[in-house]
Amino acid sequence: MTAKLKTRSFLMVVATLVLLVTSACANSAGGSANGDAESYPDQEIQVYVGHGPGGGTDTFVRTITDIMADSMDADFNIINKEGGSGVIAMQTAMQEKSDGYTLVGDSAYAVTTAAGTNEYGLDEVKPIARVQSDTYALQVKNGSFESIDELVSYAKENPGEVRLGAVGTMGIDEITARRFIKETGAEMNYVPMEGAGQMHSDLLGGHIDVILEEVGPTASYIEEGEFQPLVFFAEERLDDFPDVPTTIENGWDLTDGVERYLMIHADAPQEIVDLLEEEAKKAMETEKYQKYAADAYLDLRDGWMGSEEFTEKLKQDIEKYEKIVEDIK
Amino acid sequence: MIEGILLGLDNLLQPIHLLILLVAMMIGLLGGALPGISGTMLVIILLPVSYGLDTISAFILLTTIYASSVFSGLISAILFRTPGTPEAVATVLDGYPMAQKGKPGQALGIGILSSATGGIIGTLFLIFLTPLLAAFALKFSSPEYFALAVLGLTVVVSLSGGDLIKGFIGVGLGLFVATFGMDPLTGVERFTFGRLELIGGIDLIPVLIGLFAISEVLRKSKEDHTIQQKMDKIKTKIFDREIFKRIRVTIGRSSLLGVAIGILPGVGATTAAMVSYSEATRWSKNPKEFGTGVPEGIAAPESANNAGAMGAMVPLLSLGIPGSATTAVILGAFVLHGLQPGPMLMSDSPDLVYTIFLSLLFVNVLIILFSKPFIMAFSKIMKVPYSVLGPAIVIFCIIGTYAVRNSVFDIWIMLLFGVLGFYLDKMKFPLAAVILGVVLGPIAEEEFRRGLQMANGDLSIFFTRPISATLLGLALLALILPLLNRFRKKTGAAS
Repeated sequence: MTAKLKTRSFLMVVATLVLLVTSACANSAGGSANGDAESYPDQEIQVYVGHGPGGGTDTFVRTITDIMADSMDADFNIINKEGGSGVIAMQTAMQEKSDGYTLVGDSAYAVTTAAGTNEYGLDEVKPIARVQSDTYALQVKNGSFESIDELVSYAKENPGEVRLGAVGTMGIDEITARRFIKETGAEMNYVPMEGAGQMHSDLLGGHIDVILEEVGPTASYIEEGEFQPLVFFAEERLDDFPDVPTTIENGWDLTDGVERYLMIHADAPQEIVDLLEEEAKKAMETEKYQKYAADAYLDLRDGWMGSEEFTEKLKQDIEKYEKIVEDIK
Repeated sequence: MIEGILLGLDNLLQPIHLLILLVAMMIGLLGGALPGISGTMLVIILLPVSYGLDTISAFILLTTIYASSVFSGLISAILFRTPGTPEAVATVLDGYPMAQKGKPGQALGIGILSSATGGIIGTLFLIFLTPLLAAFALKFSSPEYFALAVLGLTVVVSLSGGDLIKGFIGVGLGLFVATFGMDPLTGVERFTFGRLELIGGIDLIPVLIGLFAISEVLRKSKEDHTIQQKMDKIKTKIFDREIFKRIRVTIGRSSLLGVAIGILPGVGATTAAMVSYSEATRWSKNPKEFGTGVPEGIAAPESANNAGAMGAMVPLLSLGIPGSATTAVILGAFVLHGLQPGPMLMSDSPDLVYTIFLSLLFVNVLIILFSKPFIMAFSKIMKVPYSVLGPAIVIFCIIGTYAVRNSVFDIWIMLLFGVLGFYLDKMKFPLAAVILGVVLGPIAEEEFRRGLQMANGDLSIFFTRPISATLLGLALLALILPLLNRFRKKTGAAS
């Protein structure tokens, strides 16, 4: 009898505690929604990144927020939410409060919006600033293909045999890869990779033949002579790689690269957005950032674009990619 | 390797890491000793905490808890006939009778010495074997990862403890949960019911905490709580020359056996302890004395389960296959920290891997020093009634779940899985099988589809690549053998 009573009182204690804690959590979640710009930041700033640790977007976010943290006396917490070319990170971030404490580090917004996988338009999320405008290259394992011409003609003769890896599905990587395939007529087999790390080890191990990737993340492989860039998606040859031809040289009109930027809820207080934009610019101009950018070949093009200007560019890009996505489908 | 060990030592000797190690060891000892809190549960409860730490600290915390909880399960097994952790099940067989004969101190001493020795031997194997296995790294691509995940899933056979059908249903349930959310390859939404919270899928932590911790509290709440026996002053003697002479061979053999069993993907320390107990009986000159409180009966399972627990880290770190429920949770922890345990881990984060190695080694040595004062303190803690302890665990679970992504939705998910886990456990469904599905499902799915894409849709890619084919073959064997055995037994019994 007493044992039964004990069990019952025990269960009641548990139930009460559960109710207490859940309601406390619910309250705090629905509590102060409008951030205070004056005292910003007075708590940790969450930055969702839609790509795996170690990749270009992740490194970008970590580097820039690290410098911003010093100057703003703030803490940034980087959360990697891989998948869907950044869509999952965006969706997770958009469920958080619009108080200015949740940011998104993105690099594929225009494409995912055009493809319809991202459902948050520019009325719901807006850029703080674009910081990087990167340059793609097709890279192979050293010794497999000597030149881009060899690769393209081999792929034309053996349709579907060359495995071309790039990160993600319906992101800018895939769009660029497919545009390349279409433009050159070199029929390659597109394999979406989960993240940069997996892609690099797959190329090293010979499980895929070509990767579409910037030279920054693979710099160490290139220096060790493991990887070889065959063509850059750029107008002019790069100073660091004078022997590697460009797409324009070959008559292929493909120069779009990955742009990396920070975004925020569209209805976050404007003062906070302005402050973050200013801090991002300051961070970008520091020696530390410049050195990182130079080391990782991120300064091949001018990256900076402020919030308003970049919003316009994103609008145009979305329209452009909508057409391309239509074509590819 | 020397370089890696120095790197790990350098990491470990930082004051903050040492502090974390000590705290974690205390938590592990305490949790492992308390019946109703298993190592798995502890690791799960602290998983959200580890989220806020840097990677190295986080894994020192989790692996230390793992190692020390496997160790301290023996205390309540010997004193109360209630194994503190599943790994200590076999320790009850001789430990409790010996304690009843008025020699609880001796029983504890044998257990501690055997555990620490087993743990150290296991860790040494871990240190030397992991790099060897990881050397295959670059040979692995999507087909191999898929095959590994499948092999990992077949662990269900040993996890389901006899009732294979329930095991398979459990894994199926886990795999089903893993399909929720956005398709990683095409971005199509699955089973989201229009809920934004479900687009990112069901988070691993709420499922883990619900299934293991909450369900366990619910189960315990229905039990009789009157085991709080009097703990008289116990004099623990760890090293006794004569006893050591008697059990050293058993310790050596059981440790090796434990490592070997632990390394097998999917067979954890609990199996290691049971098998080595029966082996000790087989090798003994007086097998009939087993079960009455012989030193060998404590030494065998205790050295084997600690060695096995360390051995189970080998497939986890080198291949990404969990060997037990706790290592499955640690696998999840790696994923949550943005790391993929597997062949690349060793080359990508050698500092982390070696720090884990060294902290495990360190903990196993420290246990000898700390176990005596701990047992003394523990006798006081045992007086806290479960009606206080249980609710405290529930609170930790709720706070922990909420803290991971500040999501109230996750708390509901956790409570839902808690109730589900309670009933599944009641119906004897192996909960670890469900977790297996949840953890390995996404890997299996994604790598399978990527592998197919690589081969232009040709399924043969999984069978023509040697490693992938071997792994899938092993997986098939792992499934067929137990079935065959059962069939043989049945026909044998019939004729």
